[in-house]
Amino acid sequence: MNTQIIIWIFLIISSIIGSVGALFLKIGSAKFRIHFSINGILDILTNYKLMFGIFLYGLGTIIFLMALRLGELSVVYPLTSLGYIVITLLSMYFLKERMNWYKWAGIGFIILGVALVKM
Amino acid sequence: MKNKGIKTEKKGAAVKTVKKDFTAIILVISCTILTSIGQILFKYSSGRLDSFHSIITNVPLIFGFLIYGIAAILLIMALRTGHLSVIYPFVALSFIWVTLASIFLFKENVHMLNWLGIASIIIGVSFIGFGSQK
Repeated sequence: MNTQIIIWIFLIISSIIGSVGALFLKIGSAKFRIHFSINGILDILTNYKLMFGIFLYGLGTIIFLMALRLGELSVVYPLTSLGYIVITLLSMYFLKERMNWYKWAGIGFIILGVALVKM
Repeated sequence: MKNKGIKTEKKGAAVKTVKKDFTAIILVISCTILTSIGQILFKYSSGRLDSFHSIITNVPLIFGFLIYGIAAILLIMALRTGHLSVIYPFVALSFIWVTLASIFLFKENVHMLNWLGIASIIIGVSFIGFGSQK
């Protein structure tokens, strides 16, 4: 298979997994407090949604590394902005966040930017 | 008199918001610098990712994750203090840092189109930040 196609496949999978991870981080962060004590650390460690979010985020990053290995950093890194699109759409469906003209324009500009970088 | 009091109160609140946003911007800029360092380490680490063993003993990879984690904490702190519409344009700074690193550290050829694309991505990310405000 063409290297370029493999890079895209890795990037798309990593964006989706990373964004689902971000979704869990968002749900888990509802009861997240930063305070530096044993209880504070235990609170974070037993926050399973948060932990699952971190796990998915890490997994997404490892898959991203597979793409990074095949392509140049200056091309592959900007493509991570695709994640913003996935997160925005996931937030719309699962968190019932409202879409508006700004967000659609943002998605448009990111797609344009990704196309320019990949040219 | 009463009116004047309300006015000063409003002004005070506005100054407080600006100060909060300023703190958030400093946090976010630090976050983008850390993210970019993490990304550079990731690129170094990506050379050897052949087996599970090579992943868990990959020093740049582990440091990259650690720095990413610290950056994430800074971002969460920034998101709590500042406005999304102010923070997001600065989040996108990391694209500039990483591109500069690609040029100077990894000697990659970055074309004009690449920079235009990054500008467009930064505008896009900023728009999503504006749209997510509230």
